[in-house]
Amino acid sequence: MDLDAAQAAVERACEEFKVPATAAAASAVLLQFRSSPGVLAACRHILDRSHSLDARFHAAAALRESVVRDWAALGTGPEGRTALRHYLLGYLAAAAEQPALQVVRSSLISALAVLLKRGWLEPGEGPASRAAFFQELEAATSQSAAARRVGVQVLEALVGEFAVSSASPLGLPLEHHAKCAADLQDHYLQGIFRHAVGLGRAAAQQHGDGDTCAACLTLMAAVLAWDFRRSASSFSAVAAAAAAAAQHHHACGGLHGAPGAGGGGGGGGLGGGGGGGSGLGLGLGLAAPSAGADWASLLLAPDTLDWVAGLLQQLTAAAAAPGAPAAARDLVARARGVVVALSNLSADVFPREGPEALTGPGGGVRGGYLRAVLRCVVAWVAAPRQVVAAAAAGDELPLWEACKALLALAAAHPPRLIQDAGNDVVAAAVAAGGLAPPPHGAGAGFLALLQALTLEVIRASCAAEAGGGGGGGLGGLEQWAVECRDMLVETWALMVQRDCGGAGLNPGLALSLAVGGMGPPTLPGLAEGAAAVFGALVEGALAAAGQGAEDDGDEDVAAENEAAEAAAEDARMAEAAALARAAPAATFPLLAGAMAAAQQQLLAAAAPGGPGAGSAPWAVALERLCWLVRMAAHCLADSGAGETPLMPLTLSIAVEAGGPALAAVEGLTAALLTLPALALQGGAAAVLSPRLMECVVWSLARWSDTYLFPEEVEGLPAALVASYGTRAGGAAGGVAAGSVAAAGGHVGPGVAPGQQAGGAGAGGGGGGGTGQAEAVVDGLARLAATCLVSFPGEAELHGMVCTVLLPVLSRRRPLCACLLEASPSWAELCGAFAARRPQLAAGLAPKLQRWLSQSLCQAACGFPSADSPHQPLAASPAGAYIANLLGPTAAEVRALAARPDLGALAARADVVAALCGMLEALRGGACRGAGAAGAAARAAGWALLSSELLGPLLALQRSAAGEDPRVSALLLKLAAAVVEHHVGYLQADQAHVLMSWVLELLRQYRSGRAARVSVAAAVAAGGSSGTVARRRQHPAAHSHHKHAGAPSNGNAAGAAALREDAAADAARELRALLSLLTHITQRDVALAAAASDGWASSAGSTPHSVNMTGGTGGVGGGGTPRGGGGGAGPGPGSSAGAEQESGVAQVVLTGLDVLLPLLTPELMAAATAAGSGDGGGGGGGSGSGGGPGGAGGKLSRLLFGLLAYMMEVHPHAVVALPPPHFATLLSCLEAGARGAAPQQGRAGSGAAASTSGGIGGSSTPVAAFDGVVVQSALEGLAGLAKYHHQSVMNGGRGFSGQCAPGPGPGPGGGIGGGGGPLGPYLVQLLLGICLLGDAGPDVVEQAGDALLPLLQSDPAAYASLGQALVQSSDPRVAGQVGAALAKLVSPEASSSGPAGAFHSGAAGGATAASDAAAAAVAAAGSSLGLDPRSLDLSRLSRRVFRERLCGVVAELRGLLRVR
Amino acid sequence: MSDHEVETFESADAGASLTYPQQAGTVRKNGYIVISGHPCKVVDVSTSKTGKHGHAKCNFVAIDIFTGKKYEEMTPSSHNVDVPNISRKEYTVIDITDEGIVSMMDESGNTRDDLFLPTGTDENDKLAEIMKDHWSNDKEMAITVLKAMGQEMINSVKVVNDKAA
Repeated sequence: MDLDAAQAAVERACEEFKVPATAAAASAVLLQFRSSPGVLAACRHILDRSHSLDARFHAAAALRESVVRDWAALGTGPEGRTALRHYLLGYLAAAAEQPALQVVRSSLISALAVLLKRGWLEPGEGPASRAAFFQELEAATSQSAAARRVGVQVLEALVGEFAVSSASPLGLPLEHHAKCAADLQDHYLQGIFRHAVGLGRAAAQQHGDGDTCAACLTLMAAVLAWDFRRSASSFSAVAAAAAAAAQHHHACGGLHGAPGAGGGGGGGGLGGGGGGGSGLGLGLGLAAPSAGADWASLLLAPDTLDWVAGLLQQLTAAAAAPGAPAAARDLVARARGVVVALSNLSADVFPREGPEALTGPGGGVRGGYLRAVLRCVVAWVAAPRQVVAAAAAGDELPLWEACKALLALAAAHPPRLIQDAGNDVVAAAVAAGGLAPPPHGAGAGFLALLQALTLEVIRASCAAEAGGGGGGGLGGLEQWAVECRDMLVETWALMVQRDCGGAGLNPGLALSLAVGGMGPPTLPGLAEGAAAVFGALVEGALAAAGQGAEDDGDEDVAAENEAAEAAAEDARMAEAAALARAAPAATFPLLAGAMAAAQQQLLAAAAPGGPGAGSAPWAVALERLCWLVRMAAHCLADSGAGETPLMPLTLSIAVEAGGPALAAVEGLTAALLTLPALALQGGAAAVLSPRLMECVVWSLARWSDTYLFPEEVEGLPAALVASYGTRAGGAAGGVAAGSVAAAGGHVGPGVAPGQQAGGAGAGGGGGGGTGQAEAVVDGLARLAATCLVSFPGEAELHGMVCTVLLPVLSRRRPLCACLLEASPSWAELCGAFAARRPQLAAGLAPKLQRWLSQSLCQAACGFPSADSPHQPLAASPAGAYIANLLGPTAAEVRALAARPDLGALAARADVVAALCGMLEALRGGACRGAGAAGAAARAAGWALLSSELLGPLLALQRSAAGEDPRVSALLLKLAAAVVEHHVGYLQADQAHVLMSWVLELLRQYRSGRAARVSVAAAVAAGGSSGTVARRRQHPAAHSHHKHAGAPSNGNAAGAAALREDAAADAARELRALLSLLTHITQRDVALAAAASDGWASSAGSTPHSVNMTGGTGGVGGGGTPRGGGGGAGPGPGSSAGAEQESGVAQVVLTGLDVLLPLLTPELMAAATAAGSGDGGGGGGGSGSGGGPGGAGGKLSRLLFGLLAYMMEVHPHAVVALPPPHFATLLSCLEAGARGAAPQQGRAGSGAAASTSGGIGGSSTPVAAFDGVVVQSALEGLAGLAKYHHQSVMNGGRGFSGQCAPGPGPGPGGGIGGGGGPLGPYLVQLLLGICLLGDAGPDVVEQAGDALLPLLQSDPAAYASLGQALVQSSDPRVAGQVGAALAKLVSPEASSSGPAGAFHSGAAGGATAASDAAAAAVAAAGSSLGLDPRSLDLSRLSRRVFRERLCGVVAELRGLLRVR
Repeated sequence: MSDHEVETFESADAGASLTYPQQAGTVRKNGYIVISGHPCKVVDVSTSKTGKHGHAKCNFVAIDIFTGKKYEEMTPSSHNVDVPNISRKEYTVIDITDEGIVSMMDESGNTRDDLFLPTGTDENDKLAEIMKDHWSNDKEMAITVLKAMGQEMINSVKVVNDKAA
C-alpha cells in the first residue's frame, strides 16, 4: 500500500466527511480504509505525519480494529507486537502534552489495552514479559506530569478491558477473558491501585495538578468497582463460613468460564461475598465490592484515604464557590465517589480484631478506617440545615453521597463502632473549628448530628411531597429528598436492629446471628434518636395527610403503579416501625395520642354542628387515621407471612420488663380497637370512608393474627395473653382443648337440624361471656359483616374483608371455637350467607363469595374433633355446620339444574351470575374450607357434593356451559377443587364414583369443546379478516363461535379487547382443565399408599408395561383420523375401554386427548413466553399478545408439571399417542426445555449449527426464564428417555415408533432433520441446551438425567454429533473440544488419544487435531456402545454422569463461546 | 324449596323482562349492560373514587352488541344498572332473497322471514357476504340470531352440511 497515497485519501475523506453532500461517500472510503488489509503501516504513517486531527483519529481507530483482526499477521518479536507496543507507548508519551489530541489518545490507549490483553495468554508470554510491559509503561510515562497522567489512563483502560463485564469482543473464547481477568486480579490489580494512590498523593501535594489527581481517582474508582472473584488462595480463616458460600458460587461461576480460572463470564455469584455482615439486604441496591482479606492492608491503610480527604477539604469550599472552574467541581465529585466506594467495603476485608482493640482509643484497624471515612462524610453534612438548604437549591450531591455512605457503613459495621468513630470525628471537627458546636444542646456526638440531619431531610421531604402533590412538575426535581430520607431512615433502622445486647463489642461471627435485634438498643442515645426520628416521621406523615387529602384529582398518576407504590409504602412503614419499636415507651403513646386526636377531629367534623362529611377537615382526619392505623399495626405486629405470627422480638423483650413499655403496647392496642367500635355505631357508614375501613380491616387482621388467641403464647406477656388470648369463661388453662371440649358438649345437642349452626346456645355454655377477648372476637365478626353489608359496591373493601380478615379469623382452632360459641355476630353472618342474602350473594363478586364461603366453612375446625370414628358423620357438629351453611346453595343449584327450561334460563345473564356465585361458593366451602377444617367437615363437604350434586353439575355443564364460557371454566375449577381436596381421602367405591364423574365431565367437555373455536384460532384471528380465516382453518367447528363470533365488530379497540378476553378465557379454562388433571394424579399417590391394585404404577418398564403400550393405545388414538385439528369425537376404542375402569391413567389420558388438540404452537409460545407475567409480551409474530399472557405463567407451569408426571409415570401411554399429538407434545417439551436457553454467542452457535445439523437451531426467542417450566420439561424428557432405554433393553421398541418433529411452524421451528429418528434429535436438543445456553448447573444436571439413557441406547448419535461439533469449532480449540466430548462418555479414554490430539493441535495442525479428536470421540462413543455396563441408570451412576457432564459443559462453554 | 329461589329464577319465556337490575360493582368485563337504551357488552370497567375517601364509582366502556358503537358510563358502584337479557337461537336458513330478507326455520319447524342480512358494520357486512356466498354455493347453513331488548340480528353462521365439499 502506498502510504502517502493512503494518507492523502484519508485526509481527503475526512475533509469531505464534513460536507453533507459528500459525507456518505467519504464515510464509505473511511470504512473501507479501516477494513483494508495491512492497514497498520498506513495508520502509523498517518499518525506520525498527518496534520489533520480527524485523519489521525481515524487512523487510531483503524489501528485498534486492526490489532484484533490482523493479530496473527502482526507477528511476535521485536518487529511485530512488541514494536507496536513500543510505538504506541512512545507516541502516547510524546503526545501527552497536546490537549487537542485527546480523542486520538483515548483511541490509542484502548488499542494498547486490547493489544496487551490479546497477547496476555500467548504461549511466549509469561510473568516476565508482563512485568516488562509495566516497567516499560512506567519508564515511558515518568518524564512529565502529563505523561504520568497518560500512564494512569492506560492503566484505567487496562482495568476496564480486563474486567469481564466491560471487555471488548476479541473473537476469543470466554475462557480467555476469564483467565485474563483472574490473572490481572491475582497479580497486578493491587499494584495498579497502589500506583494510583501513590501518584495521587504525590500530585495532591504539588498543588495544582488537579488533572493527575482526577485521573488517579478515576483509576481508584475503577479498581474498587472491579468484579472481584476470589481464588481459593485468598480466603482467610476469618470468613470460613462465607468461604463455603462463595465457593459454591465459585463453582457456579466456573460453569461459564474455565475450570480453575477463578470463574468466568456473567455468572454473578457474588451474593455470598458479604460474609458475616450482609445478612440484611440493602434496599437501595448498593453492591459491596467484595475484595478479599488480602486487600485489607491496601484498602485500610491510612495513606489510601488521607490524601483524598485532604483534597476534599482543600477543594470543597473552593468548588462550592460560585464561578469555580468545572474541573474543580469534577475533581471533588470524583473524590467523593472514591470515598463512597470505600465506605462500601464488605465486612470480610477487615482483619479480625478482639473487642479490646476495637473499643480502645483509635478502635483498631476497623476503627481507623471508620474514622477516616467518617471524617470525609461528616464534613459534607457538618451543618445539616445548610446542606439541606443547598440541596434544595440544586446542589444535592454532597447530601446524597453522604447518605449513601452512611447507609453502607450502617449495613456493614456494628453501630457501636460507628458511633465511637463518629464521636471522635465530630469532636475533632469541633475542636478544629470546622464544625460549629451543635446548638441542639443535649447531644453533641455523632448520633446527634445524624439525628439533626435526618430531621432536616424529613422536613425537606415533606415539603417535597407536598410540592410534588400540589404542583405536579416539582415531584421529579425533589426526588432527592425522598430518597435521602429513605436512606437515612434505613440507616437508623439498620443501626437499631444491629445494636443488640453486647453484640456491638464482638463484631465477629456472632454478629450475623444477632442481626434482627435481640432487644431494645443498648447504645446510649440510639433509642432516643430513633424515637425522635420516628416522631418526625409521624409528624411529617400527618402533615402530608393533611395536604394529600385536599387534592383528590390525581388518581390517574397513582393508578399506574399502584401496587408498587403500596409495596414501597409498606416497606417504608416497616422501617419506621423498627424505629418505633426501639423505644416503645416513647413512641407508642405518641401514636395512640395522634390516633385519638384524629378520631376527635373526625367526630367533630361529622358532628351536627361541624362541617360535615365530605368537607376538608373530615377528609384530613380520615387520611390521618388511615396512616396512623396502618402504622400502629406495623408497630405492633410483623406480617408473619408464611410462619406462625409472633410478637416482634424487640417488643416482647421490652414488654417483659414491664413498666412503661407494657403500658405503651396496651395503650396502642386499645387505641387500635376503638376504631371498630366507632365503625359499629349506627350511621357510621356515612361518616367513615371505605378507604378508612380498608385500612382498619387490614390493620386489625394483622393485629389479630399475632395477638388474638395465638397459637403460641410463648413470647407474649401475660397481661396481653389474659386480655386477648384467653376466654373469660374458660378455666385457668384458657384456650386449652379442655374448655373447647366442654363447650362443645353444649354445642352438639344444641344444633338441631334447621337451626343455625354455632348458635347462641353455645354462648350460654361458654360461661360468663364477659371476657374482653370474646367481645373483641365478636366485634371483629360484626365488623366483617358490617363492611360487607353497609358498604355496598365497595369491591376493594369487600376484598379486604374476605381475603384478609376472615381467613385470619378462621385459621386457628381456639379462635374459631370462640367465634362459634361466643359470637352471635358470626352466627348472624353464617345465617345470612346460608340464606344467600343479596348483599352476600349478588352484591359480591363470585371470587369473593368463594373466599367468604371458604372462611365460614373453615371455621368448623373450631368444633372439637370427633374422637369416635363410629359417630355418624352428619351428626357431628362440624358436619351439621357445613351442611347448614351450604345446603341451601346446593339445593338451589340442584333445582336450577332440574328446570326443564334450563337452556333458556342459562342464557339469562342474571341466572348465569347467580350460578357463578353459587359454584364459587361451593368450591370455596365444600372443597377448600371443608378440606381444611378437619375430617368431619371434609366428610360433610363430600357428602354434600356426592349425594345430590354430581348429576346436576353434569346437567349444568351440558346446557349452561355451552352458553357462557365462565360457567364452563368454573365447573372445571370446581371439579378440580373437588378432586384436589377429596380424592386423597375417599374409599375405593367413592373414588370410583368421583372418577367416573370426572370422566363423564371430560367427555362432555370434549364434545362441547369441539363445537367451539380453539384458543389458537381465536388468537390467530387477531387480524382483520378474523371471521373468514377462522372458518377456513376450522371447517369442522360448527357451533356458537362464542368468543369471537360475538358482536366484536365496529370499534376496533373494543373488538380487540374482546378478542383478548376470549383468549384469556380460553387459557383460563385450559388451566382449570390442567389443574383438574394434575390433581387427579394425586390419586396415584393415595392408591400407592393404600397399596391398592387398581392401578399399577409402572415407572420401571417391565414387559408388563410394554404390553400395556398396546392395551392403552386405544385410549389415546383409537385410530380416529384427527389430523384436521378440530378435535373430533372420542375414538371408538376409548369409550368402550373407559367404561370398564376409571383409573387415573384413563382419566388423565382422556384429558390429554382433549387437551392436546388445543395445544397449538401459538398458544404454547404465548404461554412459555409470558412465563414471568409480562402480560403484553406474548408471541409478537402471531399477534397473540396479552390473551393468555397473565395466565400464561401458571398455565405453562401446570402443563409442564403434568407432562413431566405423565412422561415419568405413564410413558407407555404417551408414546402410544398418535404421531401428530405426540409431535405437539414433544415440541411443547422442547419449547419448555429451551426456556432457559435463549441463544447467545451467535457466532459460535451459528457455526456449530451450520455443520452439525442444527444444534442451535433458531428456537422461539423466549423472553422469560421460568425455572420451574424448564425443570419440568427436562424431567419429562428424562422420563421419556428412560422409558425408551428400558424398553429397548427389554426388547421393546421404545419410542422408535415416533419421529422427531418436522421443520414445521412449531415453536421449535428450524430443527434440522425433521422427521428423522427421535433419539439423535433428542441428544442434539439436550446438548444444545447444555452447551449453547446460559443454563445453570441445575438445569445441566437435569439435562444429564435425560441424556444418559439416550447415550446408552443410541451411542452413535452422540458420536456423530460430537464429530460435527469438533469440526465446526474454532480450530485453535478443536482439540480441547474433542477431548472434552470424549471425557463425557469415558473419562479414561481422554488421557490417551485426545491428549495426543491436543498436543498436535498446539503444534498448529488444526485440521489434523480435529480429525484426531473426532476419531477419539467416535472411538469413545463406540466403546460406550459396546459396554453398556459402564454406566447403568442407577442412582450412583446418574450422579457420576451428572458431575461429569457439569465439568464437561463448563469446559466446553468456555471453548465454544466467543467474545 | 324456599320462596327465595322462586324469586331468583322466574320463568324465562316471553313474559320475561328485557332487562334486570344488577349492582354496578358486580358487573364484570365481558358482561352486558344497558347504556342509554342500548344493549352493550362491557369491554372495560374500572373503579375509581371521588376523592380519597369517597365511594367507589364504576366507569364502563362498552360497545353496542348490534351496531358496534362505543358507549361510556359512570355509575356509583352501589347503584343498580340495567343488564339486558340476551338470548340466542339457532335457525336453519331456508332462503335468502335478493332484497336480503332471510327466511329461516327453527328446530321445531316454525318458519319466519322477518330478518334481514346483517348490516351496519364491517363485520356484519362480511357476515352477510359470507352468507350470500354460501347460499349461492348451495351450502346448508345454520345461523344464530341474537336477541336483546326487543332487537334481533343474525349473529353468526356456519355450514352444517357441506354438500359442495
